[in-house]
Amino acid sequence: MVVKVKNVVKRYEEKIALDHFNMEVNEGEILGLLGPNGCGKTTAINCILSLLKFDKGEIQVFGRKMTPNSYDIKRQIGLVPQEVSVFENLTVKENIDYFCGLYIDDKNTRRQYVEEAIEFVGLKDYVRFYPRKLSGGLKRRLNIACGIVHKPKLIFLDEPTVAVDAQSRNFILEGIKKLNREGSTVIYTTHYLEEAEMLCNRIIIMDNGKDIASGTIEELKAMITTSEKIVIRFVNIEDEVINKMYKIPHVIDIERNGEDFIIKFENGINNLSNLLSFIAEYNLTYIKLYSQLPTLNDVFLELTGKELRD
Amino acid sequence: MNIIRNYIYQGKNLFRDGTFLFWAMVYPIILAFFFNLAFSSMMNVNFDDIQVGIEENNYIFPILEEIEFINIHKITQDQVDEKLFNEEIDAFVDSDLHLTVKKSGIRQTIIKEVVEQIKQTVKLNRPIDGTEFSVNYVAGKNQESNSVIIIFYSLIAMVSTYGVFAGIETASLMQANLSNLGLRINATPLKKQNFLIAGVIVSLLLNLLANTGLLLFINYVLKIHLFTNIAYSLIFIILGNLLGVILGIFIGVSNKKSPNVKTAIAISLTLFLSFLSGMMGPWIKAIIEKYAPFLNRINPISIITNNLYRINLLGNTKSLGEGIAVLLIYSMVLLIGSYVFLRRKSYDSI
Amino acid sequence: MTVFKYFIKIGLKNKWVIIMYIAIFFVMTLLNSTDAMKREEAFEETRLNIGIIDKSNSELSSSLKDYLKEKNNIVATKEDEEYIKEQIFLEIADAVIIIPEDFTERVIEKEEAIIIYKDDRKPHSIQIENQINKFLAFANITYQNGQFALGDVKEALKENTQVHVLSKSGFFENSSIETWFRYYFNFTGYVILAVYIAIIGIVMSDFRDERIDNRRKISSKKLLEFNKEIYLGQLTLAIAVTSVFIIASILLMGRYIGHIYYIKYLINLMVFSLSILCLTFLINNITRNKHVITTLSTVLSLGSSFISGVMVPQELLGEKVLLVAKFFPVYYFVRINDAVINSLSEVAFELFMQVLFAVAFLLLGLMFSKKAQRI
Repeated sequence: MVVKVKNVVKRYEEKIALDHFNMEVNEGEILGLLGPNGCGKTTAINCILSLLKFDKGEIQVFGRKMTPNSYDIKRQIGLVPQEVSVFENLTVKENIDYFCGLYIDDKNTRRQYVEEAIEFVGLKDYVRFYPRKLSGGLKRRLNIACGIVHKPKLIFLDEPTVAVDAQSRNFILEGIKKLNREGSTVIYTTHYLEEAEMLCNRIIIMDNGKDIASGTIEELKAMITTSEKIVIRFVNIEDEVINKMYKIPHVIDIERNGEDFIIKFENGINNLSNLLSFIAEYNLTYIKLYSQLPTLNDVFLELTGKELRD
Repeated sequence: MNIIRNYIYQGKNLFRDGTFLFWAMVYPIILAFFFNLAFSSMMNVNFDDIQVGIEENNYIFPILEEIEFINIHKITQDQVDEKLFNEEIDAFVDSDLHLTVKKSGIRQTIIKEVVEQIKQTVKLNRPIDGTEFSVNYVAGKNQESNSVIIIFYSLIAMVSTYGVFAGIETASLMQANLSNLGLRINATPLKKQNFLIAGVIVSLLLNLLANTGLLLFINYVLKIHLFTNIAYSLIFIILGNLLGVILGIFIGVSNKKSPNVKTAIAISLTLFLSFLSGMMGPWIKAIIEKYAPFLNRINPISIITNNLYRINLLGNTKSLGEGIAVLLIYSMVLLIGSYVFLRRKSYDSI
Repeated sequence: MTVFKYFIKIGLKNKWVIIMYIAIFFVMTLLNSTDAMKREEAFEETRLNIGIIDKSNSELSSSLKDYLKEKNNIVATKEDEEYIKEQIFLEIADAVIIIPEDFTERVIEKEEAIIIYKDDRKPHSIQIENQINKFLAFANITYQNGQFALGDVKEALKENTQVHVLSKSGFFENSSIETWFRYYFNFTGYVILAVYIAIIGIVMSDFRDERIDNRRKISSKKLLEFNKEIYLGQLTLAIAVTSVFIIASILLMGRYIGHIYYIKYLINLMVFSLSILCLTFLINNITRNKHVITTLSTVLSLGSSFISGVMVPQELLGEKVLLVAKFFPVYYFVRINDAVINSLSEVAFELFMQVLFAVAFLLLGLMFSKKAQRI
């Protein structure tokens, strides 16, 4: 186990930031830390890195307790913090080189790593630029480069795609997958569920400082009762017919979103064909019909009563 | 190895901040310019003539009339109060050669001296031809100097501590709870000492550069020759720089207030200490000397000013030990204090 | 009035800095004016501490020593240059003179006869030279037939001019009180320059982060409205600061207010504050860079105060300097404080100039603000 967090409590004066938080990260996986803004993701990372004090609990990295003086552990960690943290008066290349130099002493290795990092984040055309001249997305790419240039075994990425253009975002996500393929364990925090779904092997869902659920995506989706959602828009339907829809097998709930009906089914194989039979029976016409598997948002919604998107 | 890289990169980071650099260099020069303007003209004062009221029948009337810088007003006794009040005359000389004045300023002092000398000369009752008073019997052993130079020493002392601002910058880069970069750097294996020392040296270099610019300006443009003994003078200037930078770091790491607040502390502190050391006029220093002399011995800016004076004008280069020691002690204490705050630790909040 | 409200809020957030600034500058002001007052109250020559080394032991030198003893304090000293310099440096002695063996001969020949080490840090130390020169000049005047008439010299030097300082109550000022107020308010002018720019700069830089400013630019708030509220906020801060100094002057020297033309100082200060407020407004519309603002605060305040007669009285400053000084409002401010007048109409010109500066700064400030709307 690369990272082990057990029952950690962190209090600020006014509130509890981490409430008996638990987390385990295995080697080689991409772990997603998913939760709405303010739920404690960054706090958790800062505690793991021993930047923040915590009140109770235990944290181990690479099997050992982490302290501010654990230089050898730090050598194997890379951090891409939430805020862009680079030297304003150093160029892109100088920034990456500086941070690489904090881990890699050998000049040649360093030079090679720096080149590779620049290539990796796609900033080759911008090496001489100062950060203030870069767009938001490019700045984020620089931020990442500075965190991973030394090819660490464990990488923390804290919301790396906030305010980033679509092209940069894809780039970044692909890059992270590549890093993982090359052997790094990744801890990735975000509140964008699509990213989590696309990227992570395992996900921990966080809310109010607690870890609410954890597992692979399938495992998580299996935790909730809704297993399928069908969205349909009728041309015309009467209220009594609507009430009758509730009788279709496996229907848990029906929501209305404007003209659309969102019918939630629990586990069942023939949900769609059951619905089609119903439509035929009552002679209904529809202009929209599609089926959706539950998303992480649904998982979150059901587990916490809140939407992931706030 | 890491250390040198740190110097280079931190150096680049600091020196490339155009505005900061510009003002660090230019600002002391602007101050020096104004100082020079104000004080040098004071040395070559051209007084307006001194207005003296006197009764026509006063026996020194003709004597006073002869004197170039005195302008006689023929008045009567009852006009005295009024003319003094509205400052038409600076002083009134009566028949006993006593003066009536409204206030005791420079002009009144001069008139007093003149009238007194006339009175005494008359009492001496010997023939004089006027040349007797132009002889100078006194040979000054000090270097050629004037009070202006003292004030410049004070200015140099104050400016040498201006590394304080760069120190504050460096401090914020080092603390995770003070800046984003600080956070990132704290997550790396970089030892804080290395970053700190590099920061100190780079800031020192910057301020020394600014000081050099200033000294060159004073020497070649204002044509005021401040130093007879550069080597020893430099010791104190460098010590001042060191103290300034370390003070900046201490201010920076010891609290979590905003950078604005820290800058404000730095400015007002240095200004206040300079004020106490006489930068705005030698009189303040005399008061301190009278009522709280130890203040002058522990005020670092006073120490530098005094020693610059001692080295260059008094020509004394022994006994510098105390000054050097005090400055070094301050630096050490602040450095240790900074280190205590900087000891690698986790923060309560970031 | 949201802008105004938040301006004040941010001001209050920074209250400790503001208080610290005011406290430090207040102490400086007090020291300065009290000292100036004391300097004027005493019309005696200051007694200096001098060391005398007499290698001639002649009648002339003894007589000189007696004379110097009357007017100064004698401290013991040694004939060792290093030692002497230390004494002077440590201010144990303000001056040390060495009378050589051939003293009498040198005096007769009208050559340099005495060696003096003096403390250049003290403007008074030149006094000693004057005293010595006068004594020896007198001595030489009486020199006849190979002899000095030192008794006559002594008698002559006993003559002195008494100085009677006018002090009447009622409309005539007590001079040293007048001095206190004059120096106090002059220095307050310097403080206002330094503090307004610095403090308001701090609040403004908190308030006008560039990103926040861009929000404001596209908001529906009219630029003029915005500026008005900002100005009001700055005005409030300014009033707070200035009040401290005005109230302090009343508390400290309240009983003497009747003796001087207090209104003059008050009105002058308010007009001056106005013009500096406008200057601050202008500066804050030109730059947001905190380094620049910091520097400007010190340079403008210190620089213009020096050349306008705050630290060194205007009468001691040269023509050219004052010419340059006329381009700053401080000059006119100081002139009014220094002037002896019965009514404000006599200084109408100077008041007008300050107002002119105020208007000019304000307009320039608005102009820059408008320019910055589109970048």
